[in-house]
Amino acid sequence: MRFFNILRYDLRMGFLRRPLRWIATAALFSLLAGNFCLIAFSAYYQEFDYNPAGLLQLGTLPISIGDEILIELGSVLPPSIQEDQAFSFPTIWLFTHLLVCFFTLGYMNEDLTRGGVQVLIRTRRKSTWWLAKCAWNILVVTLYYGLGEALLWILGRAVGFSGDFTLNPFLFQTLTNRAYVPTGAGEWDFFVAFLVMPCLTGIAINLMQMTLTLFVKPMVAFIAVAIYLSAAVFYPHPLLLANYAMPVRSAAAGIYAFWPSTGILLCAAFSLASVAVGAVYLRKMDILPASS
Amino acid sequence: MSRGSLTRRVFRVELGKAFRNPFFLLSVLIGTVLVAVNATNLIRIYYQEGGTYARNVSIATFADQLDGYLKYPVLPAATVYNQWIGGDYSGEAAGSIFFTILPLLVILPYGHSVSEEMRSGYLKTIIPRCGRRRYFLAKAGAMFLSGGTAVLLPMILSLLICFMAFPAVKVDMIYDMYGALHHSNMASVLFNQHPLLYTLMYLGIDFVFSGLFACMAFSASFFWKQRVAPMIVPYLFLLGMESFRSVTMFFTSSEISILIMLKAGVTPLSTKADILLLWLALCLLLTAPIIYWKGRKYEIF
Repeated sequence: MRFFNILRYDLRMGFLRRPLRWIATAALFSLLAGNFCLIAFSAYYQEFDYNPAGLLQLGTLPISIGDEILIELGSVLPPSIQEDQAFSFPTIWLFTHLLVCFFTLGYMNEDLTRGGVQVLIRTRRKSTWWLAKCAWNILVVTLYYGLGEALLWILGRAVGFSGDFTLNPFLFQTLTNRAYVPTGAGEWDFFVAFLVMPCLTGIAINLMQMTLTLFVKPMVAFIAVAIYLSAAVFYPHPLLLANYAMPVRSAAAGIYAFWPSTGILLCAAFSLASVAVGAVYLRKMDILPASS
Repeated sequence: MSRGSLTRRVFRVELGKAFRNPFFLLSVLIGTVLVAVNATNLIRIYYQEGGTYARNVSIATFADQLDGYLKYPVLPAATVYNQWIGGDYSGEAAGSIFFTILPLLVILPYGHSVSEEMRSGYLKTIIPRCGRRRYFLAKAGAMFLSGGTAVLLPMILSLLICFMAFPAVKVDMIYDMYGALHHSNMASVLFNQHPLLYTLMYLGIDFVFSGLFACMAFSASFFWKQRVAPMIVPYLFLLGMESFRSVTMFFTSSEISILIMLKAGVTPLSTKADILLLWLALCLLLTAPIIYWKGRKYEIF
């Protein structure tokens, strides 16, 4: 079987036949857009003379899509540099990243132990099968972030926020407790840091998780990923890739210097290493269960 | 064989499977590592901040730091009750990670068993011998106990380490920034007057909720036929509910996230007994009736 035939099979079985997941994704990001409206409204409550009707006039405020993404998916600064305020764990950020890890968690493993083994046998080459699974993983993660970010953009524009990445200093201070100092980063820099990096990091982490499921049970792999993501919240270290998926720590935001160029290199290295380790392991792996 | 002894035997078999499997050990191990890191960090900070002498001398040895602590003890600031992993108010990394992944730790030991036994055909041999009700009851009991114990053991270890390192005195209300529980919190009087009782009460609360989270994987197994989904969906549900608090914060000053309410220490918003009871009711509703009804009608063929 050719590579594209297997990929088409994977997309059908692991993507099209599971519409509930995409409904859940759309619902989650719609809720996040609504949540941002509430946060922005509460920050500007005084401007509206404490009138709840001001919620309908949010579009008149100098708020952009960049603010929406920074507040909802930006995560927080590590507790070590915000000792002056209570630390609040960024659950929303963790949830959005773990949800896609759940989407990609079981499919490969189940395909390796159930009817998918027939496909693997007909493929004749384990490496082709594995590469198709990696491509499927990358596509699902890209679609997840693409759908989510597109929804945030569309709903933000529908409310009346500007479609660029100009950050609002007042909202920035509300999130970080620090004054916003423009870094001179252009729209493209913000686009990469705020929209592309979370997706690239997600791809690297999901590929790592998929490779890990070859060695341990999927549940253990998921716990490892959850710990890896949570550790990044506390330790701003480049090897904890999730730091690059936090727009608030990006060089464009100006507090931390997590440069997208380094992030892209690291994500590519982690992804390639995961694909290679998986391919080598799968080559030597006995696909038939021990009992047979 | 009498019915009572058969029930006991099935329950004993399930308990053996739940506690004597590598995933139970792995779960306790992960919790223990997090507790060890948490305790090491907090003890280090405690002794370093004990005296200005130790902090100002950059080459201070541990003995110097200890000396600094002995000269300038800050007894009211750090006690067992605000330093153990459940009561820690500082937001230390390992402690926070422990509570963030708590539902996964409780599901890991035995959460996979129901879906695996449904798929493997094991139920076709066991249910005709002991009956659906007896089997599912024993399974739920074993899941509840293994989930609760997987979390309770590391927490007790944390408490014991803290008893060795910190003074077991009441948290001083004058130093209220160091983890004193304010009157708006549930059982704050108990915490301020009998902190040990309060801590034991929270160990009990955490045990019960951990057990119920583990049972959620059981009820999810009736709806998701895949191997992984029943174990992850309850966690995502609880995490999603915690995310939801960023919306409810606009309407109430009470804590609604159960994952945060399981901490005995200071929380960002006030904990309330009625919300905890609502969570208990919700968890019971998501487990007991589903296991009972779905289990009663479960077709093994």
